[in-house]
Amino acid sequence: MNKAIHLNLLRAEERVSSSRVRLHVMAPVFAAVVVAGVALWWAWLWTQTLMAQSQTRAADDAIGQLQAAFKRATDTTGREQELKQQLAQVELYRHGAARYGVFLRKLAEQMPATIQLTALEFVEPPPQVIAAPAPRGKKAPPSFGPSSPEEPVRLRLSGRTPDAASLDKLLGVLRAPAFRETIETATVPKGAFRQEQDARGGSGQEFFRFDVECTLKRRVFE
Amino acid sequence: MSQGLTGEQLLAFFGNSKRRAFAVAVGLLLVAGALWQFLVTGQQEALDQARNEAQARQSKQEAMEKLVRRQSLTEKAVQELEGQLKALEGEGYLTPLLNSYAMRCKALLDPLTEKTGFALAQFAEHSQRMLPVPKVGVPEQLQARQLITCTGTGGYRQMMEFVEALEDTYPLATLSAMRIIPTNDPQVHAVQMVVEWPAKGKTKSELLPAAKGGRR
Repeated sequence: MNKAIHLNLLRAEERVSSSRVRLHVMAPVFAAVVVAGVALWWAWLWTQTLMAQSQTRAADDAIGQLQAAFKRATDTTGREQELKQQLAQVELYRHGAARYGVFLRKLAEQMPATIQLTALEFVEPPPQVIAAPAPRGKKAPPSFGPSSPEEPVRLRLSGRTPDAASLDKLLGVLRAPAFRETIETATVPKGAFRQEQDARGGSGQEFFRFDVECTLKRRVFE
Repeated sequence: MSQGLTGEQLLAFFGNSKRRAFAVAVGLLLVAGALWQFLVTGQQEALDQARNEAQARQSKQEAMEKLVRRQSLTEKAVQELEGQLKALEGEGYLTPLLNSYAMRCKALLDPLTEKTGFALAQFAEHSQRMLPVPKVGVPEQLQARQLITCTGTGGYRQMMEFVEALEDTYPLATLSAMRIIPTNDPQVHAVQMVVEWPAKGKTKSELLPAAKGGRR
C-alpha cells in the first residue's frame, strides 16, 4: 500500500494564515482596546466622583442656609410632641378619675335609721412604688412612674348601732345592686364590732360600735 | 549553561514579528491590569464613598426642607393643642396661682362652697403623685396628680352637695381621700378632704434625683 507523505518545508514563522484576521495583528489591537477601555472607565469614575462631591458641597451649602429655619421648626415640632403627650397623659388621668358624689347621696338615702355614723373615711391611697428595688450590688434603674396602672380605693365607715341586726342591714345595703358600681366588697374586720356602754347623761345604755371596711372599684389609669 | 537569556537569544526571540506582537499584547494587558488594580478599583471606592456622602447630605437636606415646609402647619397644630390644654383648665386642670396650687384650688372651690354652704377654711398642698405613664413612648411625667387637703365644716348634706358640685363643675377633680368626724353639734361635721387635680408634672431631669431613692 502506498502512503501519502505530506512534506512541509516552511519554517513556523514563514507560515501565513489564509484568514484575513491575523492573530498576531489582532492580539495587540485587542490589548490596546482593553487598556483604552480601562482608562476610559477610570475617567468616567473620576468624573462621577467629582460630580458627587459637587452635589455634597451643594447640599452642605443648602443645609447651612436651612439651619436657622430648621432649628425653629425642630423647636416647634418638639413643642407639638410635648403638648400631645401632655394631653394624652391628661386623658390617662381622666380615665382614672373617680366620682363619689352620687354614691354619697345614695349612702345617705339608704342608711338604716338605727345606724349612726361617727366617721366616714376614704382611706388615702398607699404610697407609690416608683422603682423596683435594685438587685444586690447593682444600681437601681431610674423609673419615672408607678409600675401598676391600678390604684386601690378603700372606704371605712365607723358608727354605732343598738343591735347587730342593724349592722347586717347596713351590710346588705352596701352589698346591694345599687352600690355594685362603686363597692366591690363590704366587710366588718375581726374585732371591729364591739359592745359599749353609753356614758353620756349617765343612762348606761348599751350599744355596739362598729367599723365597716369597703373595697371600692379600683382607679385604673390607662 | 547560562541561567538567563543572552542578548542574542532575546534578539532572536523578538526578531520574529509575531512573537513581538504577542509580547506587546501581553505587555498591554499587564498595563491594563495594573491600571485596573491601582486606579479603577481605588476610584470606584472613592466614587462609592462620594455618592454615599452626597446621598446622606441630600436626604438630610430633604428632611430639613420637609420639616421647614411643615412649619406653618406645626405652628397651627401647636396653637390648637395649647388651646386644648388651656380649655382643660375649665375642667379642673390645675395651674398655680401666685406659685401656689393651694391658692388656685381655693379660688376654684370658693364659688362652690358659697353655692352649697359647705365651709372650707384651710387648703394645704401635698407633694405630687405620679401617673403610671406607659414606659415606652412617653417616658416623662409631663402631668402629675396634685393633691390638696381642704379642711372645713358642714352638714352631711352640704358636704355631699359640695362633692357633687365639685365633680360636675370640674370633671377632672377627684375626691382622693376624705375623713368626716362628728363635732359636738350633730348637724355639723368636721371634714378633711383631699382633692386630686391633674397638674403639670416634672421633666426627666427634675425626676432623676427623686428616682435615685427608689421608693417614694
